[in-house]
Amino acid sequence: MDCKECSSDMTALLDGELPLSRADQVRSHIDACFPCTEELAALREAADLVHAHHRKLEPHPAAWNTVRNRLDRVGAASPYGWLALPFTRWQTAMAIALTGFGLTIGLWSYQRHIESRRLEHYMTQYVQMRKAQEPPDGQRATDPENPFLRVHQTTQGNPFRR
Amino acid sequence: MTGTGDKSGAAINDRALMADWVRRAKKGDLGSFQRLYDRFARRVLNFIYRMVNSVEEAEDLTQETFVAVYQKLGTLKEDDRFEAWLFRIARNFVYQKYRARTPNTVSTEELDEDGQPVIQVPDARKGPGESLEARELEDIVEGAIGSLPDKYREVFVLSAIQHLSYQEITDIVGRSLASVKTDIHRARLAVRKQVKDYLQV
Amino acid sequence: MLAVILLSSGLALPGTPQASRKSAAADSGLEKMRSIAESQHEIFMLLLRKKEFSKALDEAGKIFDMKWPADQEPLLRKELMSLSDQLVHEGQPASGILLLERNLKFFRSGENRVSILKEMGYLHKSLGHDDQALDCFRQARQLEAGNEPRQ
Repeated sequence: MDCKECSSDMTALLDGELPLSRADQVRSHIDACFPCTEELAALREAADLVHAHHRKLEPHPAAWNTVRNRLDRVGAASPYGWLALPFTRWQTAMAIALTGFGLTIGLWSYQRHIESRRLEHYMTQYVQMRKAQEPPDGQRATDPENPFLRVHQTTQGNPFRR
Repeated sequence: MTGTGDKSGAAINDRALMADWVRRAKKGDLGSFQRLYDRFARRVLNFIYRMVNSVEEAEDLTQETFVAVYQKLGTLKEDDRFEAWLFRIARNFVYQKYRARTPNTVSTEELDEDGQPVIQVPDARKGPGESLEARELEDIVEGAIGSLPDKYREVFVLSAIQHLSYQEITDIVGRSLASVKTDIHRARLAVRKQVKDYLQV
Repeated sequence: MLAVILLSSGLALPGTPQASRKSAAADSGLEKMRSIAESQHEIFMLLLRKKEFSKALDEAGKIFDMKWPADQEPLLRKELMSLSDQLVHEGQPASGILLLERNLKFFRSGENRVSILKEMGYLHKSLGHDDQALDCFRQARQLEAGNEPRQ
């Protein structure tokens, strides 16, 4: 390891960010190299100076109230974003009940719809059959095969006559 | 083993406690969110202050950051990574609102022939060997920090002042570990250069 | 001795004179009903030609308002449908519906009731009474479902 390599790792060494094996190598070089020893010491002292004398701002005492008020305005209970709000147990139970009710209504409506379609089909079948039996407008059925004719023939031959 | 700073058992418990606050805050517990605010507001304020160089703006942005953080809590997948996530939001806030360019580049005018950042510091130095008031030292240190290019300043602040790990810093700034490590080193060298007259060494 | 006891109890065993008398009485009753119905049928047709539809309905009702044996229901159903048809072709579908509606109660067989209800529904549909039509077909369908032979 040369001094350039060592120098590039000094800050990471001070910050404890070097892998152990690499840290050992750097320390070994520093122990044997006076300029690097001085370099490391200078970096350490500068870091200590910054740590000791950097400006330390404190948040305004009322800052949290300002944040809190803003949270109330935008909807404090929305940490989930567009997803569900946190519910109490009662709200959860209500939501479940309403969902169940909604599903029941939906299922009932669907079943009614299906039943309605079946009934309409049932009706349509009979109506179409009966219409097919009807003689054309203005014309009495005369064909013996025509059930109306049979009706008429039956009436002209009274069904109760022996 | 990669060192990640001096992580004592107390620090690990601290992180677990923080994660618990985050979990509760996600469910709408404002008390827990206030604990997070109390814990991190100062650090966020000081970070933003060094990015915008104005106390008033830093205070406003800090509040906005925490409002945004609360609204986005649901998007945080790993509760124990709240700290890095918080700083990332604060950083993004700063650059969205107050910067036209991202800090991921340094213009060639800001670098010397060795590739080191060129620092212009107001000449407030006193002669070496003279004792200085703490306030003056503070001015010197802040001046050195404030004169760093954005790209170096943010990683310097996050490492040297906020004491975040390099991995956390990469999560915040969105650069590679190697790039962050190099930038931190260069920033430290630049600051050392500016304050060397006030060092004993 | 046994024959005397049985004969005196009125129990009509098949092949016995008493059984024959009961059968003859039943036939006589049915014959009487058929005769009445025959007359009522003619009266209905006459009133129809005279366009006295309301009276025709009343006279037709007398055909069905007799205590007919169950095995006569198919015949009666045919007559009812036939008379209703006559009314429809006289331009009186509403009267046809009324005829069917009034006399439905005399039919006990599910199959016959289904036929009558369907015919009522058909006539309602022809008049544009969709709700009433659907109601008649719904009843018919329910009866059919109830009358389906058990597997």
